[in-house]
Amino acid sequence: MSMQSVLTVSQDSPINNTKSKAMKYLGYKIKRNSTAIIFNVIFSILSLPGLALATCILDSENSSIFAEELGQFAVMLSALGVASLIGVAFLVYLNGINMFSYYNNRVLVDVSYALPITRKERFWCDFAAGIVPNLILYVLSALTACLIFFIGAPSIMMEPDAYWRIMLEGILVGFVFLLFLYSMVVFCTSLSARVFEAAAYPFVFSVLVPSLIAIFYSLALRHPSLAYEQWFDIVMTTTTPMGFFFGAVGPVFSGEFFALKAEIIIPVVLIMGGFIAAAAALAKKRSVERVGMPFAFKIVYHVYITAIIFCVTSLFIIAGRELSNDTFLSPATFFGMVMTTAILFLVIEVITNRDFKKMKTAGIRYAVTVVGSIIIAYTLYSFDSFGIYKYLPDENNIASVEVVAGWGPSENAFTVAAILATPEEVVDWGGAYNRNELYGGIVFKEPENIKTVIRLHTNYMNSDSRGHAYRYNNSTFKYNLKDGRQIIRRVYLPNVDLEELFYSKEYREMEMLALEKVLEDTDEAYRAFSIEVEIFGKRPSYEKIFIDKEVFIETFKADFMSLENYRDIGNEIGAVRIDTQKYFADKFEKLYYRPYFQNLSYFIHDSYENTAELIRANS
Amino acid sequence: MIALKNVTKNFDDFIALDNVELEINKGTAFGLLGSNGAGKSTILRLISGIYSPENGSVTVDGTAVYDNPALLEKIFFINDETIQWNNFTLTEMRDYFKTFYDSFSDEKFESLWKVLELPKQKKLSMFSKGMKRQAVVVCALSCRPDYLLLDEAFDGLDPTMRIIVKRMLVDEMLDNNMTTVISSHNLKEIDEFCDTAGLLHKGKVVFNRELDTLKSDIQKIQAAFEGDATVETLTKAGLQLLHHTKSGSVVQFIARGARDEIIGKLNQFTPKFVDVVPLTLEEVFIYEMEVLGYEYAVGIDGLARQSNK
Repeated sequence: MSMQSVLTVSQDSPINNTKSKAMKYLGYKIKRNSTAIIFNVIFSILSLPGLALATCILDSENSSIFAEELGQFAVMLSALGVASLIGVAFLVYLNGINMFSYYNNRVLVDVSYALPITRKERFWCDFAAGIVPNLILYVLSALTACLIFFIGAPSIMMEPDAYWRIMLEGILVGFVFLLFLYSMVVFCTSLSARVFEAAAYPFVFSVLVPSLIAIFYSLALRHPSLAYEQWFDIVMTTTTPMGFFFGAVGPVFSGEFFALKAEIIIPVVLIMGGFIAAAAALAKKRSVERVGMPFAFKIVYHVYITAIIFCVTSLFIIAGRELSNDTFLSPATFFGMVMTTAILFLVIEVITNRDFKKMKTAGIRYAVTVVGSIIIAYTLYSFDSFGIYKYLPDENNIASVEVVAGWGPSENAFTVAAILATPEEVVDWGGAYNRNELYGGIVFKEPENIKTVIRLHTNYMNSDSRGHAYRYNNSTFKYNLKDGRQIIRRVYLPNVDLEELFYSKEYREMEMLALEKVLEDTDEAYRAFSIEVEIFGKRPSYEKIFIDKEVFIETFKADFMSLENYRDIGNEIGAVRIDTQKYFADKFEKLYYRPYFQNLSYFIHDSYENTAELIRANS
Repeated sequence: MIALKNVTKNFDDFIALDNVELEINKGTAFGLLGSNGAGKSTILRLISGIYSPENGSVTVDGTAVYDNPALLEKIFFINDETIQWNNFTLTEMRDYFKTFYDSFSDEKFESLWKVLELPKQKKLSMFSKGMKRQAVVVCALSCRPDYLLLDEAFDGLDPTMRIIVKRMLVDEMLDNNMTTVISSHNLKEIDEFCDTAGLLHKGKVVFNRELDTLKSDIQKIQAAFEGDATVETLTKAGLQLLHHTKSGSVVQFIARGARDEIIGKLNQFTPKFVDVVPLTLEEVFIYEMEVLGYEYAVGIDGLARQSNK
C-alpha cells in the first residue's frame, strides 16, 4: 500500500475523526472554563506555596533567610493560604456542576446533545475538562510548596526521610481528595435535573451517608453513642469526601503520617471508581427530556426522602429508648416523631416542587416511609440485629479487654500515672480535654477476668430491662482480639457488678503499680502529698493526718493485695485522699487548662485491718 | 431520507408521540404543523439525535441517528431558544461550529455574514432576538448540513429579514440538495416555503403530503342552490364535508375531494352558481383540526358556525 493510500484511509477513518472530535470538544470545554481556571491559578499560588512560605517565615528562628518582623505577614499569608485551599476545593465542586450544566439546563440540552460526538465521549471529555486542569495546578502548587520548604526551612529538613514522606503523602492525599470530591459531585449532578438539586445533592449525600451508617450502627448495637470501632472510623473516612478530609487530609496537615494507610486509600479509590463508573453509566441512561423537571430519576427522589425520614425516625427511636428505659417506641416519642417527619416530608416535597394535586399519594408515601422505617428499626431491635447485637468473640480469641467505666474505686490513679508518663500530651492538648482521653480504660488480660467481662456482658444483653437503680453506669467493653481486631460494645451495669472486676487481683496489681509509679516518678510528688482521711459515720468526718507515705503505701498495699475474694472486702469505712494539687499546679503552671483532678482516692474497707489501724494510730 | 417508523415517545405520563410513521424525502422543504404539544419539537429532537424513542426507529439515510456522531455531523438543529449563545460572539460561534463540523465553510460564513452585516465581536447578549436568529442561521448554513431542522426559526425576524433568510435557505437547498424541516405555527410561512407538510395532533400524524396535493384535495365552495342543500343532503350526496356555513341563500362549505368530482355531485342540487375558492394552508390546517375536534377552530369562525346552528 502506498503512502498516499495510507494517508487517505487514515483521513477517512470515522474512528479517528470521532476521536479527534472528542479531543476538540475537550479543548473547547477547557477553554470555555477559562475563568474558573484563572481563579484556580490564583488559589493554587496562594494556597500551598503561600502556606509553605508562611511556615518558613514563622520558622525564621531556625532560618537565616527570613526576618522575624515578617511574622504578621506570615500569619496573613497563612489565612490567605487556608482560604485559597477552600477556594480550590470549591472550584472543584463548581466544576462538577458546571461541566455537566446541560444535565440541569434545558436551554443547553439541544446544543450539547446535537453535537456530533457520542454520549460516552461527551461524558469523559466533560469529566476530564472539569478536573484535569485542577489536578495539574494542585500538583504544581504542591511541588512549589515543597521547593519553598526545601529552600526556606532547613529545620523542617532535619529529618529528610520524614520530610519527603509527609510531602508525598500530602500531595497524594490532596490529589485523591480533590478527585474524590469531584467524582461525588459529578455523580450527584448525574442524578439531578435542576441546578438547585445539583448544588444541594453533594451536601445532602455527605450528611446522609455517614448518618445512615451511624444510625444503622446505633440501632444494631442499641446505643446512640458513636463509640467507634476501627471499621466504623474507616467507613466514615472512606465513604464521603468530607469524611476523607477529616479522616485523612486533616492529619496530614497536622503533620501526622498515617494518611496513606491501605485500609483507607483502597476503599476510597474503589468508592471513587464507583462514583465515576456510576456517573458514566448514568450519562448514557439519563433521559434528556427530564432536564428541568424534579429529579433525573424518580427513584432517586424516593431513595433520598426515604433515607432522610428513616434517619429522623430512627433518631427518635434511639433517643426515645435512651430516655424511656428501653421502651421501643413510647407514645410521646411516636408523637414527636410523626410531627417532625411530617413537617420535614412536606418541606422536601415543596422544595422539590412536587405536584400538590398528588397530596393524597404523597400522604400515602409518607405513611409508608415512616411505617417502613419503624419496621426496619423494630426488626433490628427484635431480632438482635440479626446476631450483630449479641455477637461476642470467643474468649479464646480475646487477647485482652479494656473496660472503660464512669465509675471505679480509684481511677484517678491511672489518670495521674498516665499524665506522669506522658506529660507532653497534656501540654500539647490542654489538660481539661485530655483528662477524659487519659481516663481511658483498664486493660484486663487474665483469662479469668476476660470470662467475667463476657459473663457480665451476656447477662446485660439477656436482661429485658436495664434498670435505673442507684449506681448504674454506662461502661464500654473493648475486646482486643488476638488477630488485631477490636470489637467495642457499650453496656449499662450496676457498680456492684463492676466491683467484681475492680477488685480482681489483676486490677489491684495494676492500681498499685500506678500508685507506685506516681510516687516513684518524681520527688516533687512526694513533697506535695498530704493525706486526708474521711471516716464514714464520724463527725466531723474529715480529718487531715500525717503519715509517713512509704509506711502508708506499704501497709495499704499489704491489705489491698491480700484480699482473696472481692466479696470479703467488707464495708467502706472511710476514704483516703492523697492531695496532688500542688504538684500538678507546679508541673502545669504554664497551661491555660490545668488538670482538673487533685486527689488520688482510695476507699478503706473494714477488711483493710492494718490500714485502718495505721489511720487510727495517727489520727 | 428521514424515516420515523412506529415511533413512540413519552414524557412521564404524557404521550408525546404515539406510533408515528413519517418519511421526509431528501432535498424537500418539509413543514411540521400542529397545535401546541402536538409533538413537533419532539420529532425534531428525535431526528437530531437528542431524544431516543421508547419504541420504533428514527433513521436518516437508513442509519439510526441516536448517538451516531457520523450522522449527526450531517444534521443541524436550530431550536426555538437563542439565550444559550448569549456568552458567544459571532466569531466564537463560528469557531465553535468549526470545531465540530468538518464541512464548515469559512467562505460560506463570510458570504452570509456580508449579507446580514452582523457585528462579529459583540456578545450575542447584545443582539436583538432577530439578530440572534440570523447569527444561528449563518452558522448553521456555514456547517453545510445535509439536513437542517428549524424549530420556529423565523420567530423574531422582521419581514425583510424573513425573506433574506428564506432565500439563504433556498439557495442552500438548490446548491447542496439540503433537506429542510421547519416546525412553525406560522402557516403562511410554511405555505410559502415548504413543498411538503405533515400535520400532527396529539402525538399522531394526521397527514403527510405534498402541499399542492393537499390543497387540491380539499375544496372551499361558495354556492347558492335551488334545491335544499343542508349538511345532511350534501353528505347523503357523497360529499365529505369538513365545514359548512349558510348565510341567506349562500352556502359555504369545505369538502374533501377533487374539484370536478365535487362540482359533479353538486349539480344534482341545481346550483344557481358555484364558486371554487382556492384554500390557503392556514385554512386547510384549521379545518383539518376542526375535524379532529381542536377548539382552535372556534376562535377563527366559531361564532359564525354557532350562529348558523
